[in-house]
Amino acid sequence: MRELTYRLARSAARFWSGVREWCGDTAYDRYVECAMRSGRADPMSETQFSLDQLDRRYSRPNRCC
Amino acid sequence: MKKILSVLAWMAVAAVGAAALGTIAFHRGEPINATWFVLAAACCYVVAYRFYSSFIAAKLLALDNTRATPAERREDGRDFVPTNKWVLFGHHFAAIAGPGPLVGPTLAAQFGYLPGTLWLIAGAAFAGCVQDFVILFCSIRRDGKTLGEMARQEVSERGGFIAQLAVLAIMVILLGVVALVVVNALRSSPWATFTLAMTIPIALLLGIYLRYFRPGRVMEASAIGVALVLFVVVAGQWVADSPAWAKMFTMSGVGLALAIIAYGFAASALPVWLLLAPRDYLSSFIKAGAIFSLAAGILLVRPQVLMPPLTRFVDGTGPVFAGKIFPFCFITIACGAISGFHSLISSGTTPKMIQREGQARLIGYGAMLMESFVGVMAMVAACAMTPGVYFAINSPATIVGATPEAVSQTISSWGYPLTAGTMTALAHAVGEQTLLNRAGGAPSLAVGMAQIFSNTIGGERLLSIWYHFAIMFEALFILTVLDAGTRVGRFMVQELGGRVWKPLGRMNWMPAILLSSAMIVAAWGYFLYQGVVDPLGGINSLWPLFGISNQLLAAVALVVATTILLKMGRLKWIWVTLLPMTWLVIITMTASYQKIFSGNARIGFLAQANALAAHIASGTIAAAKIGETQRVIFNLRLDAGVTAVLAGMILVLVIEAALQWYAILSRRKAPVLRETPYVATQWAEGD
Repeated sequence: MRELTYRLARSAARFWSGVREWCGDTAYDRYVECAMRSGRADPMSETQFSLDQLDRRYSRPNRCC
Repeated sequence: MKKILSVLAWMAVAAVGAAALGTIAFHRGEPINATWFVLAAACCYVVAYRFYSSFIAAKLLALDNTRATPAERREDGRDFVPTNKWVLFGHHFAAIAGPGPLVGPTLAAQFGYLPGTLWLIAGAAFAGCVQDFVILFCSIRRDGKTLGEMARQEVSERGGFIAQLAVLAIMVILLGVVALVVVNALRSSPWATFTLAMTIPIALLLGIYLRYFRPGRVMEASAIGVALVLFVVVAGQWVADSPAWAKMFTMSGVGLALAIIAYGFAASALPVWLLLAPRDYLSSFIKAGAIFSLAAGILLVRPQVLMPPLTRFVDGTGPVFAGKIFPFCFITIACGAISGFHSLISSGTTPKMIQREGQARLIGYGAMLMESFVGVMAMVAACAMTPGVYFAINSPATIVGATPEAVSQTISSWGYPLTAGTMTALAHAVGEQTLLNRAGGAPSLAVGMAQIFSNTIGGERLLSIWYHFAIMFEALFILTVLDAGTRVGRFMVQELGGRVWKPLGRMNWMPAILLSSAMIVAAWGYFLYQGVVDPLGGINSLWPLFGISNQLLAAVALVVATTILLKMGRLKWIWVTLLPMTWLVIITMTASYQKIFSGNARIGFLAQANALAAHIASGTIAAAKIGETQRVIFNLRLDAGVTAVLAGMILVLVIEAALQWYAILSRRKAPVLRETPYVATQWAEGD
């Protein structure tokens, strides 16, 4: 029973983190992580990053008919 | 033993699928249960995914999981972001699933349920999924290059230019047509108009919330937005019940068209965070919710499909749009079976986020199967209403009349019994003044969806709420395509126009932004206006034009894919892309020819223009109407010209590619493949 509860909780946590990733809630954390790893100095602030992402996403076809 | 069990299980799935397909194909007389559609589609998709997509992955593409993808090699946290395959599947599906798979099958239901359903299933398995999968693979192997760039590099400079023009053409026509669907859904409906209008301040509120209060908290903001949207769906009833408010939100077709044109301009010129992006978030959540609810509703209610497998309109005399099953069923249902627009998504964001080549099968082939399933559900929803009601909603007044009595008399004379009282009662039940002559597919789909939803929750009492929820969902969905498309179109105009006049290409210069926004809005706004004033309801002429342009882009994508595969030395399996490409060229060319040259005035643009010109010449048109009729004649000739240009472009590209194939096969030219060189992945298996 404990094993089942553990598995269910883990699946729910995974699903939740997948939904957050799909929404874009984790995008900035990933960007900062990537910037740190590649030794990029002075990464963008969260607001700058959000605006930059939106501008890039909506300047090419991203929604189909 | 395990293998034997697996073989037996797959044989059982195939047998169930074949039995279900056989049942829907050969059923005659009595209504058939929708469960058969779900079973047939699900079994065919599972078998196609398990066998055909793995054959393509192994033999044709030879996917290589040891090869680093662009997301690994060029990871930057912005464009190139390695993403979990299920999350990327969700992204890709949300991007490819637009209003097309809902509207197309609803319109094609005029032939009966059978042609459209078979095309949705077979078209997706053998053409649409193949296109999405192969183009995704080609783009992954080229660092996420776009379709236009691949066409330029692998086919020819001219091929790339044609692809770019085709994208712009389809964008303009698509935006005009989908806007027309919204106009026809909202016309004279204060409830629906109020609900949709309120989504604009809600989106603005979310934009400001995300910009200044909680940057990056998309889910939180979207949850607030969805709650507000659901509230305004209910509040719309109070508006419709109040004479003063109802008057304010009751708009004519022309008024709505002008409002949508103004909205498109604003969405293109305003900062993207303020209106466009928050609306997209709202739309994505509501889209996912509505599609899953529809699937659950169909499975729970298991409605009877009342439309016959084939109607009398297979002869091409249909009231929704004119033309025979071949080629018009295949043009009308584009998205849901095969859509050229998907190739832009498959060569856009997705290839830059995929972790392993092997995942292209799930994301490219699998997501398209799911979109096709949405199309089958739309077909079920449209065919679950009585055929008489379906034709009354979708036929223009010039064919069936404008009063309940005239409509019921005409449609009953076709063999689909309908009483005037039925339509009046249905309109009353869904909270509308009338449901007659609402061409475009959206209102009839909304009625079908509302009937399924209300049979699941709330019964007759909630029918009007469900109907307006469905209308809001479709319209929100469409406006998202409209504003995102207008902005992308603006960038294309700036890019192309910048070559002629440099300042126009400056992306941050306000006059250039305003001018290019006005140009793209004027282009699709023209088609929208033309559809609104068209005596046949606009959908009759514009939806086939949209289908032709979309399938043209699919043909471009398959020409590029075939050329690349030929250069890769996959001649033995080239039929996988060559056959769907040939099929698309045949249907696009046949449909284009008929739309331009058919002597039937309901099909051929020129025949209709000539017939109207003859009426003017013979004096049978009132003097007051002559100016309007001349405008219609001009529009019809323009549509014929646009169709000819689209057909000409695909012919040039096919000839260009065929010459190159001949040169490669006859060894006059060495094949030059422009793939990025192999780099081994640094990620462990299972990362």
